Amino acid sequence: MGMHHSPPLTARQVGLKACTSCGSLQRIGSTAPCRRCGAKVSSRREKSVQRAAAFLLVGIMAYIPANLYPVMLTKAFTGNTSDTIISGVFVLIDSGSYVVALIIFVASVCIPVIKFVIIAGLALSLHFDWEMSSRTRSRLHVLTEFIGRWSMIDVFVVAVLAALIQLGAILSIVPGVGINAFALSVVFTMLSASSLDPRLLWDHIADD
Amino acid sequence: MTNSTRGPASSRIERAANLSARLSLAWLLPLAALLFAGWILWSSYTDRGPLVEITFDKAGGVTAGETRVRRNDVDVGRVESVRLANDLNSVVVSVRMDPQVAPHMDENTRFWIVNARINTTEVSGLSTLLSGSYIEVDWDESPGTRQSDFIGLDEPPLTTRGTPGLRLTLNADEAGYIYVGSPVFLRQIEVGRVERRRLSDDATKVLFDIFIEAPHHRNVYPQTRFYGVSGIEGRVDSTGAMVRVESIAALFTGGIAFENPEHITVSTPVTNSRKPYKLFGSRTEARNSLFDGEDDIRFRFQAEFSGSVKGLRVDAPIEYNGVKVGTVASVEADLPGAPGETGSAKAVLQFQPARFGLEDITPELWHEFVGKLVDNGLRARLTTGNLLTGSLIVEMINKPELAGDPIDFTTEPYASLPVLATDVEAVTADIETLIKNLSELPLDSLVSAATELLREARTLVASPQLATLPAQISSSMSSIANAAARVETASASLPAMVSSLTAASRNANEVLEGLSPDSEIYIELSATARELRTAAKSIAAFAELLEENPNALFTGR
Repeated sequence: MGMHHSPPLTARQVGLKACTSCGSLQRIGSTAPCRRCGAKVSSRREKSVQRAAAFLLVGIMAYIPANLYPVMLTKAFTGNTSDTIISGVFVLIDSGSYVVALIIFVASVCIPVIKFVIIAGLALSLHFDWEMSSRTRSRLHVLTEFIGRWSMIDVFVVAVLAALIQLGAILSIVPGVGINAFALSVVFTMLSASSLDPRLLWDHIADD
Repeated sequence: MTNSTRGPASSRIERAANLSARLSLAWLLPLAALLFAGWILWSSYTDRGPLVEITFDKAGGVTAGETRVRRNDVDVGRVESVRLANDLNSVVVSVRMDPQVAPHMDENTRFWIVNARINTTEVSGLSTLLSGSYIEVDWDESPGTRQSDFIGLDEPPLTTRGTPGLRLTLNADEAGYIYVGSPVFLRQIEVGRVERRRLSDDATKVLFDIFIEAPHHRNVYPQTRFYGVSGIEGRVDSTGAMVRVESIAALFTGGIAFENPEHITVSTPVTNSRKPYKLFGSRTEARNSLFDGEDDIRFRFQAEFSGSVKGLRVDAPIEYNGVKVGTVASVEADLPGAPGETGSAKAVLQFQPARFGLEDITPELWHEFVGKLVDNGLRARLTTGNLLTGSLIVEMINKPELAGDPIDFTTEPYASLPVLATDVEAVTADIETLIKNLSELPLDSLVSAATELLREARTLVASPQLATLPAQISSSMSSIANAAARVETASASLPAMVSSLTAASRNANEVLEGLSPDSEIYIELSATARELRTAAKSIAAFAELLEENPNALFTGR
């Protein structure tokens, strides 16, 4: 799509709607579930932008405690330390692990923020009918899908460390409250991204 | 979803309709999240406990945000900030306490910093070497008026509040080897600790605050004697040698022990700390002074002895029928008031009525009591305490024939006891004679004889004749018995000897009377007579003494 200069034909224009799970076509007027797979079929998902915005809001809200509270508690015989995401990054930099620091920083700070901005931008552009080429919107949407898979890396790091390093009094790592908030934030951002019906992104092309 | 079959324009209408139609249920989520966040904020604000400020001399490893406040190893608060006090000399630690302990933040609450402590009496807090120091808090059972400023303790208290037991104060002349934390023993079982040692306000005593744990505090009676057990107590006397160590720990750190007189069952245990107990230097001292109350000057008398009181020292005992009833508090000379009078010496006699069995007598009753005794003939007299050292003691004796001479209550500073004149010079002469006689003992020949004896004994031991010894021993025993019988006869004839000596001297005098004083024989004879008199006198004194107390030669009276 998008390779043609003439607007492409859409299912809706011919009075049909596609099942998003199996791809079978139905008449737009029908309210029955998909005859092939039984899924709910809609031409454009209802209140998709609202839902995306609501989930995004929860994701952003959860991101605040995710950064304020420690994500990892290190209990060692030399004392207990607790690290937030940012302080952990600085600890890694101080200890010379620049690559790991960069990965953590990108995965835990850059990616979530980029996702927030993109989804918010898409939702706002849909709501307020901003001028934006469908190709840009599609690329942004693909980008959120692509980088989304990296955003859980911090959760995995903590989960693996907490599971592996349990040496009792000598050294043990316990997940902090922050990591729960962070996981919640990621989950709601993903829900937000998936609630946004991608078909809305290129509807305006048909309008033009 | 309406206008479904229409063109592009309809999609915008549909979107507009979608957005302006009833709101998505999804909006409930951020609302719930907001409410949740709000609830967390609100509850964390209202659930926070009181902020207390504790002033310490030194911060001692306390770190803001990390150091915990603990009670019985449970966290009950966290240090929020550490800063210097306004006077820049001490440290103020702000602590956020748990809300559940808030009611206990009253005047009886104490804070101290727990660090590793290693000294002679304790090794504690070693875990803080690794985990960092923490602040320990201690409060009593009952909540009191809320307070937010506290002064931290420099040292951890040895017993937490609410520990059942008894706090007592002991006073001693010197601190000895007793330190804070030194144990308190009862029958060599540790039952308490020294909590504090300090000088009394006037610096004349050392005061020890001790704590005796329940249920052992019920063994503390008003008559209980406390004594120091610093290291080893040793004694060598006629009953043998004795070494006593209260505990190995006390050997190094010192300690306090206490014991009760045997008849203590009639008394009631002490329930609260009254006036300080006296801390004796040793067990022996404590036992000897079982009846010693605090010396109360209201029980004092004075006695004026004419002539020399050479040998009478402060702390010399006052005896009544051979039982110590007090001590001499001071001895001073009184100059003669008029020419021709002999000077006298005034001794202040400190009586201890408890030794008469009068436990809680008032001074008035005591004076009345002594007054009655004196009316019946009680007198003070100086007498020899120890023949070898020549020390004197004060003896209270009953002379019923002297009844009727009352106490002079008008004298200052104490009432005067009537005294019995003692021929102190005679006593002194006795002593001098005895010492002379002793010095004239043929010690040299005795020693050489003993050496000879030892040599012979060695030969004897080496000789084969030793085998026949048992038989000889039995015969020796019988001859010893014979010898003893003979000695008995001899000592029985001592008085006869004295009288014959006296007679000899008298005869010599009679002979002398018939001689010319200028003749040589007169001079010789008179010297002989003098010697005879002296010999008779000293033998008489010696015999009397031996009769009274055969041990006196070595132990004194």
